[in-house]
Amino acid sequence: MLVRTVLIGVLALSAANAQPPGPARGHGRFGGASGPILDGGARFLGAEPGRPGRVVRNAPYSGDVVTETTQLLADGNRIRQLSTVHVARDSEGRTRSEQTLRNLGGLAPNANLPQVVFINDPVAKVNYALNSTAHTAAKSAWNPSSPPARPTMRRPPSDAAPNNSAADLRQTPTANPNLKTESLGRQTIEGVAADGTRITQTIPAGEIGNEQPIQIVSETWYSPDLQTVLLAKRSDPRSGETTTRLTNVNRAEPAHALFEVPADYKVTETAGRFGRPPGQ
Amino acid sequence: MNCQEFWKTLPELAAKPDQLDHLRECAPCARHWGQQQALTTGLRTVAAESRHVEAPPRVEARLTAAFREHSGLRPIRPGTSRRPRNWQPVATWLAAAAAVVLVAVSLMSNHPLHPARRGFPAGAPLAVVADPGFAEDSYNSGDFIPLPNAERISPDEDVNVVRVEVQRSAMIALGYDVSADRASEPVEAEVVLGADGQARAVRFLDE
Repeated sequence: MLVRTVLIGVLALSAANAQPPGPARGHGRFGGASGPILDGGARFLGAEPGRPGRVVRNAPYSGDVVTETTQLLADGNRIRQLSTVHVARDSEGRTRSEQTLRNLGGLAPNANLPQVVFINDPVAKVNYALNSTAHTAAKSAWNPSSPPARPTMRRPPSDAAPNNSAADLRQTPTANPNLKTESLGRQTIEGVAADGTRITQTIPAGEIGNEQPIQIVSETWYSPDLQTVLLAKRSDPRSGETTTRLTNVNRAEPAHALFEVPADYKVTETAGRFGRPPGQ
Repeated sequence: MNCQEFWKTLPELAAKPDQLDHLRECAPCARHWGQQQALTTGLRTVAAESRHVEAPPRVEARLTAAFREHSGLRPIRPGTSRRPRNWQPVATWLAAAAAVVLVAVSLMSNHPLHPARRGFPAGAPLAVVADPGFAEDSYNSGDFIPLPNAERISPDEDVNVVRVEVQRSAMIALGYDVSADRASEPVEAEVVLGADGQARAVRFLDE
């Protein structure tokens, strides 16, 4: 009897462990080269659609989102980086963004990752992440919920984290007397009318050890017609300037094929965002 | 409560209210919790059914004699022989408990490592328009750390995620303490891209 019981236990344990294992670490859905990661580089493991944003219908357009960052170093040197994302939206609210991951901000400035395309289709209620190099696509169901919890490393203490101007600007004017918001009126950018807003945050002298007050200025031009930002500038003397501009704006209906997965792509259906393909 | 915290509490017998909240929000944990509960129930049933099953007395007598002989103990004289103890239900319970503990440990060691790769709760609402308040608590906070000088993620913009391996030295800029001897080691990270394609936030996976 004891033997039988133990056997049952072992079998049960085996059954519990017989579930498909989680995805292999180190090489994601799109695979990746092995070997060491070069300084400032990154190894691509996979891409997946995240949370779809607000669905905007009846305002189609296509264009290029060009972001330029300029950082002035203490020795007078400058670091200038440019990135371009091709974007499109059709009348039914489908969106497509196509970009080459040349850098991941300060995280991996020399990433040079593959080109990826993200498609959000609120009509079919699906999202895709396409790897243009491997001709593969990860498909997941439309789901605007939160990212899944993952076992992550403990966050560093807040006083160890770097200054983050964007985080500073999160505070509302009422919560922070050093925030000033002003309207810049309306102007036409790329043939589209846009309303401007400027937010100026002042870090008083001495607050972070600064001898003089520091001003962080964020300027945004938003198009009510396209319901998107046409131009955004941010200037922070601690980090430099960033300008994001929507250029080559074309308000014609984009080709429907842009929102479909090319026929020669291998589509892998994921169990959910950040999930793994069933059966793998 | 996240997946790691949930499984760290080893809730193999009963879940507390906050644990139940987590189960409602996390389909992978809920599924494995259900499997664990089913397994526990099954083993208990087996143990209960086997409680009154005994080996024939002669088998136990022979085993006991062989054990005493092997151990150098004096054989039990027939006149002083006691009625064999009903040890098997105890052994059965012990075996069942051991199996349950093994399964629990197995689940605990496996699932916190990959809980999220299994997708979102099946019952998650499929609202077409994202909830701004929800976004505030997901990509802009929680596990995700805003990258220095990155724009804040707007609640109504598309965000996407790329999973990469970077050197641990990349964590230093975000306030992590990285020892020099591990600076060149790879670490897996999920990077959130905003609608402009710029990296906005990151979380480092502890695997």
